[in-house]
Amino acid sequence: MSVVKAGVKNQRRQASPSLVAAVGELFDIAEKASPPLQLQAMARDKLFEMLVLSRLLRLFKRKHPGGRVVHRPPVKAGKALSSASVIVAAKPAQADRSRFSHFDLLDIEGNVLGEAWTSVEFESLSWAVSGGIKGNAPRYARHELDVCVLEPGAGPYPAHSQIYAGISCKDVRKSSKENVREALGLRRETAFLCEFGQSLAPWLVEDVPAQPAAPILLVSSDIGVRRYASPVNRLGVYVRFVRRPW
Amino acid sequence: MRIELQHEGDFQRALAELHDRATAYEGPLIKEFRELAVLSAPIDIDEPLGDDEALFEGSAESRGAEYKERFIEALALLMEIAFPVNKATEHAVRRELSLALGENKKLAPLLMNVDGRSIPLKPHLVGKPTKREAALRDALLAFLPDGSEESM
Repeated sequence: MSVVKAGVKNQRRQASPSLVAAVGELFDIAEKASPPLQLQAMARDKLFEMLVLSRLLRLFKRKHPGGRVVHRPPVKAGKALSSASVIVAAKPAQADRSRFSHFDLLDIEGNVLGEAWTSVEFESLSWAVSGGIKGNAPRYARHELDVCVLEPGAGPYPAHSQIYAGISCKDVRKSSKENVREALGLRRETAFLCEFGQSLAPWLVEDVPAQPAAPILLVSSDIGVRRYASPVNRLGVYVRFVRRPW
Repeated sequence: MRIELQHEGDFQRALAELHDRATAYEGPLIKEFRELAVLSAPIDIDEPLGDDEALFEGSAESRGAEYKERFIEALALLMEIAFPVNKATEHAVRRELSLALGENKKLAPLLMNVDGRSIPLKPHLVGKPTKREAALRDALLAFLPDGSEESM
């Protein structure tokens, strides 16, 4: 018995296993996995948002040689926390400068072109067109953007017109059409559709068929999401796959 | 570790292995494994519409491409189940963010604000995989497309 076991062990430790053997071994690991606890799931989702934010910031820097990205930690009673501490909201929240970090996007001349935030609720287009007063939208007239670029100095609950780019992040094992519908809902609540015009975040997407011309992205950790990339791009919703680091 | 493709039908055989084991799975992640069973299911051959029509199986090349495509999707799902976000992921994301900021100093562990309290993400994540597991993971990653930052 022990000889057989040792044989199996040696076989598994061979340097170049076949694909079938490797997949079998992967399955051995997967079937021992357990569902995540609540805080674990929350931490996982936040981490994916932070990853997408990082990719967004790096893209901005690449498209703006000489530009900078500056971390703005929360400022309490006029005193900023350490710039080494990045604090993000765990659930949909205000763009609250006293509680959460945000990131200024500066061009080469030091002009702030936008502010990058995570988990910010904005006031919907439907609220604006129904005559709602800015800053007074109730919860049901606000929607969350997992990652976004806002107009510099936008208030705690930015209006739809103050969004320069919005991203829905999905760290999922399997993407679904529901994810796409959610992004389409964000598209509807941030702008009217129109002919292609210059984007409010041209370094991210050049032209967007919307007014205001803010691109809406659906970013998923599931490669299968790419099947939804078209035709929703014609409506200004852009589907991206971002593999998380392992 | 490097995984060798030994035969032309390796993707088909690997898919069959995944399908057999996924359908037999009983446990807390039954939903995910059912999804895996669907993704790895054998490819249906089109039924002929008329009596005189030959069975359409497609070219060997197109079927091979379909097996490969399905294998990639199934493997991606299985990798997600086997290797959930862990403490090393937090470190990697923090390093990426630090690079994006272009600051020389390192960032402190990432925090999330839960009901007014700042909670570090790291303690709520599972531990790193073993060396053997990490080697297997890295070898299998070669079969998955890279979601590079250019794709943003």
